[in-house]
Amino acid sequence: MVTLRVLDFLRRIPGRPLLLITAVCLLLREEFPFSHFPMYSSFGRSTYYVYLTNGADQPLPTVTTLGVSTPTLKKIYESEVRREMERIPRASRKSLSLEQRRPAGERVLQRLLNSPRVQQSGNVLSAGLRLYEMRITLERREFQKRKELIAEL
Amino acid sequence: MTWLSAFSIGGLERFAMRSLFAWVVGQHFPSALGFKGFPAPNGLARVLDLSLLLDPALLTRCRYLLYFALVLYVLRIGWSFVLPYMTLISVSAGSVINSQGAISHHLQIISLVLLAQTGAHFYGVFRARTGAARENTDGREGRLINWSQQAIAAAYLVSALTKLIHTKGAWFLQSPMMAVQIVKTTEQDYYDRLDPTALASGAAIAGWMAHHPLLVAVVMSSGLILELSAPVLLLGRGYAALYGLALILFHETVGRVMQLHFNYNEYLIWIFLVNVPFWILLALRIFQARFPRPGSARL
Repeated sequence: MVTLRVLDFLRRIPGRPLLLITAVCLLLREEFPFSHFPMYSSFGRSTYYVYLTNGADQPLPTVTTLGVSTPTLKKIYESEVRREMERIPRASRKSLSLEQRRPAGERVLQRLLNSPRVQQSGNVLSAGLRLYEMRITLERREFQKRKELIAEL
Repeated sequence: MTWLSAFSIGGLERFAMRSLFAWVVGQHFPSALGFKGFPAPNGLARVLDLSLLLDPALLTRCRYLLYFALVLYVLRIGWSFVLPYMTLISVSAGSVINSQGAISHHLQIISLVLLAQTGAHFYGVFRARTGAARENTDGREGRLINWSQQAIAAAYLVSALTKLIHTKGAWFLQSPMMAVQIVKTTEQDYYDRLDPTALASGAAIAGWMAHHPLLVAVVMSSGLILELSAPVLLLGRGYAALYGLALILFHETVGRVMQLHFNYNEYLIWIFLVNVPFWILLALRIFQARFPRPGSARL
């Protein structure tokens, strides 16, 4: 009886466009405007982000200096790292050494320096530019942090 | 059928919906696309040359044309031309932004709703041409609103299904690890502007979560269930409003805890699900029915 009521309830939901959009999003994954919305779809004990400093190791505010948010900076860096991985047979994200990630970081920095925003704003990055990777790991309910200098221009 | 679902959509309510949605569409279109090219083509940029949009002068013309189209949209004039233009320009701008090597997820919902509205409009045109019972303009607009709600529901359903697919159903077990993500997003937020305001509270929340994994799993799973049950919002106005308010609460919580804001999602939820103008009109109508003034017209 309860099952029948639940089925009747579900049958009342109209939704051919809903089903179509859902199916297309899941099939195409990431082709704008379709997306499978993978944000926080799985979690590990460890994650990382990247940030920028000048040549004197003073952090730079990415939005106000470069017009790019820190999450976007990470996505750009991650896609460059994936390109590096494609060049190395049987490489995994975890197995990539610092040297293997460095070209990806250098390309990101070069792209930032060539961006219209930086070019228009003049010499704001004359003191050098460094890209750091900060890894955060949860171990025994405590957060461990480790930073690595990935690239420098 | 409940008395709420039987309530017809009023002209004022639909006008408010169109006006508010037009405002959101106008807001979401970028005033500048400061890119040099398409390092990682995505979406429409894979099949069309969208480099024209990188020209600031042309982008400005497209924006003014969009504003003109939005006025026509609100006035319900020329939807067969206006809706495809609005959709095309929205999808094009989103594709340019997402072709820079970093996929962002804050614009999709608007383009999806525009796509759904365009589909609903031409479905109505097709039905009329194939001899189906003639619909009036209000009936056709009702389909636009319903398909917009379906597009919003689909976005949340997809998000929930992806979580289950990526974790093979074990998202509940993994969700306490969200604490690590909160440390990350809090520090990312700091490096955006070197503003330390949220650093201490973010660290405190993450620390608390790391020490209460079971409670975190229960709370996080309620969010997953909310997303998974998104089709329920299509059952009627009451469901849509309650579900919409729950989603607003969900987004506000995520925004405060993780510094992740989905403003356009919230705008569309307020417009198409919570639908405040309808409830105000309904309250006025009930008030009028209970306390009628002699000789006054019904709203």
